[in-house]
Amino acid sequence: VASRTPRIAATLNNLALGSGTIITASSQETSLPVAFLRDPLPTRKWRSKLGWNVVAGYNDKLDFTEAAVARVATITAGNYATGAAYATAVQTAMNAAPGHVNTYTVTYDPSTKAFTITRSAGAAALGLPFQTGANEVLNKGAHRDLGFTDTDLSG
Amino acid sequence: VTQTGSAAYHSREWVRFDFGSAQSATVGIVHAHNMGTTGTANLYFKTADSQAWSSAAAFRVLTGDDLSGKRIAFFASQSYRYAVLELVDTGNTAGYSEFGVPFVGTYWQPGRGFQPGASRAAEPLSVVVRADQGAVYLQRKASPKDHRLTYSGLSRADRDTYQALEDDHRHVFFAKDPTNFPGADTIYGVIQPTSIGEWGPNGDLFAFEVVVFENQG
Repeated sequence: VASRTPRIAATLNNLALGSGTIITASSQETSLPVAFLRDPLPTRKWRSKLGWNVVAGYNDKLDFTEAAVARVATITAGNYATGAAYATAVQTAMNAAPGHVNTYTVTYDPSTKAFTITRSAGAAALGLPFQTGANEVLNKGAHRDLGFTDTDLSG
Repeated sequence: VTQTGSAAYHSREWVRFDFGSAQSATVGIVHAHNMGTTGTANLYFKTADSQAWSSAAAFRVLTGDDLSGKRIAFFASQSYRYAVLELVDTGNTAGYSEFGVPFVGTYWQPGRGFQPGASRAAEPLSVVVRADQGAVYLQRKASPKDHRLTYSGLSRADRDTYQALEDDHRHVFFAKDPTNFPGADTIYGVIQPTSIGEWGPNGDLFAFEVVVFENQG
């Protein structure tokens, strides 16, 4: 009879919970910190802060192009508890991107939960290179936090 | 010119583990998360904290056949100082990410499989209560499962390793069938100390029953 050979991953060999391991998170609720992960109870959980959490070097960049010229918006790091607040932060970042020529409006529809990026002034063709942008590699740009897929958009 | 995305409720999140120095890992697990069957759990390895995400030293998607319970991946040994578990689940209406048990480390696999006849039994914790007037109530409680299986003919080295795990008296992820059912047949719980039988012509083969008590939290 063929037998199955189990694999046992024991706490003894769990580097994540080693006594010398330092655990940090992109964000954490005060009442549910990452320190709870050291408790073996599955119900003692780490939980992120509600909403959008922007961390420098992780999800603070948004690539876009104007007339095929690459621009990079840098979103201010921090917690944005609502979609409206995050939309405002992204809008501010796009309108402060070095070299930008257009003006943009970013909104969050509370009913559809969708973000919309609009060129509100200017004539340079807008491109959103969410697949090929330099900061979107391995999905590390902000586009996924805005609900966009890994696809280049234009027009 | 307008572009509109899909519904988004929160950002991607991550938890980073700094081991202090490069350490080997062969398995990653995220257990008791809130992603249901959607979303994605990724495991990144980095050599330095400053290393860009886009150039992480190694990258694995944690998946399996029990997406709502645990995301899991076994892989060839990776040795790095930093590991990061990332949850990509921006469409989750909860508006946040969470999980209860992470695992990044090595697994142990004995030289032989377990014997046919493994069992799974529920501990019936629900209690029937009768009121003074005769009405019957059921106090419903979840039924954690006891999983039993038997090893026979293990080597001395395997026995020693197993005893070390048992003596540690801490939790394990016990993957009964890591090839075919890496998630559904992986039990999170504690192992009961057992008696280890010695047999074989030279006392160099060992047999014992393993009992894993599931921890449902």
